[in-house]
Amino acid sequence: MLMYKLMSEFHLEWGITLLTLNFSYFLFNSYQIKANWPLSYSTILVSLFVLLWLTFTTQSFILFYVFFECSLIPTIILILGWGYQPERLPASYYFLFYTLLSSLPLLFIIIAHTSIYSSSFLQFWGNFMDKMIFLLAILSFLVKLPVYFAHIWLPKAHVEAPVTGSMVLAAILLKLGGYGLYLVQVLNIYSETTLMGVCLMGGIFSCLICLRQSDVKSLIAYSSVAHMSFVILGMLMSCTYTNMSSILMMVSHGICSSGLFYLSYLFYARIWSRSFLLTRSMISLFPYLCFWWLSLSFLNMGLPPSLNFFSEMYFFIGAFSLDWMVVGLSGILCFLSSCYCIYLYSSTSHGESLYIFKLISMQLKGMYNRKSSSDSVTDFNFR
Amino acid sequence: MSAESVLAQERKRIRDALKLQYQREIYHPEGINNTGAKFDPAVQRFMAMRATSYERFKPTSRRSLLFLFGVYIIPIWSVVYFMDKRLERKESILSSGKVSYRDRTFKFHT
Repeated sequence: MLMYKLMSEFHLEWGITLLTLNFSYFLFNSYQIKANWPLSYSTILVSLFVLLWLTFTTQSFILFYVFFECSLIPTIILILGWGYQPERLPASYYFLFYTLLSSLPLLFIIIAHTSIYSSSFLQFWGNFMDKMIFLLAILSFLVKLPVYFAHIWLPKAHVEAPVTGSMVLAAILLKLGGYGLYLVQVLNIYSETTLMGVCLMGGIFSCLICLRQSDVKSLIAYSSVAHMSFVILGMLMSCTYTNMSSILMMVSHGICSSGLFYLSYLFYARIWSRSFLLTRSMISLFPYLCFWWLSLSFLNMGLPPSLNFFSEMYFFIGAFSLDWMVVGLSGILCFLSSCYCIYLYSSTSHGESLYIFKLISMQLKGMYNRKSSSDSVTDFNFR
Repeated sequence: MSAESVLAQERKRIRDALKLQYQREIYHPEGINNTGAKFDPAVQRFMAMRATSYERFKPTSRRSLLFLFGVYIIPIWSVVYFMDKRLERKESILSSGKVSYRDRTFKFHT
């Protein structure tokens, strides 16, 4: 009953369903995409969106698990088929095996529970749970989110995936873990201070790792780990405000992170590199694009009145009621996340460009020699 | 002239020749249709090195143990330990009834 009450108050499942549908609608109604995408690519994306929609709307935990695992298949096909570096092979292995192996305990728990109680509804799980079983049950969601120490697959998969793969991974697939945690967190009657400590320190380590990245996509991927540590913390605290904070963080991160991945692709389509060494001083060439970089970086760092800001605000309200130590470390986490957002924007948009004259003349020549509207450096290559 | 200064001059000559070749290629007017930045094998090697660092990492026992304990285990353990102590103290005060209703935690929200 508590779960249904929470669902009706927050409408989480419909919120994420709408996000998925809007996302797919936006992608499929872009005229360039219709012109350039092969049928296989569209089919894989449609199947992925259908599976995600089914995952968020199903009321049975067994079906939720089945769709949760099935969404791996089109994602791996996307990475292997349309990624553009040989490193996509180990990336897909990491992605597949991390998710599969971590979700095996959950499968056994669901089967055991269903065989004992003849039902997979969560209301009956309270009698079945003890601390170890709860941790094993949430392990797959923690790996999917991901929690630090189980996050290795994320930068690999995000970097090697094509642009649509990265956007769907960041916007929706990570939130599968958050949604799963949201479903079972009503059963969290344990004070998981160990997991909270791991999330807090893991988030801080992720921010520090972001500050030493040389790959734009890799930085955005590691920033997801830092933001998702907030989500896990909020769910573990079992407080209304921190729950709201987690949900808002999931939605806002889905928008910001996927936007940043798309912007990094737009730079990649022109420079053919994701390196910070080469993508510099882009504001001289693409001032309006850098405006979007600035906006999304500010939204990502939690500048008011973004959703991220409200999420962090609600988190601190809940954390103050729990413990000052959590507040202090979360404050450091917020500060470091602002640091890497500013680093991301200033490194790509400002600074001294090595190739500025070449790029300006290339752009000018492209403008004058364009034969048709599709013959330009802005062609979308579904990468 | 000493042998070292001769070698230094030779290295400078090679460096200047490479710089001149690079600048000629990058600003060549006929090379305008090349999209993106000039392919630099050093940058490519650097990016490949960063991308494959996990596969090539060879830990040494002393530094790895120092990093493991100093950066991961001790900070996380200390955070968890002090958080546990503080929460236990709070719980014991609350459960023994020493906190008045006016000073209860979660006063304004659940």
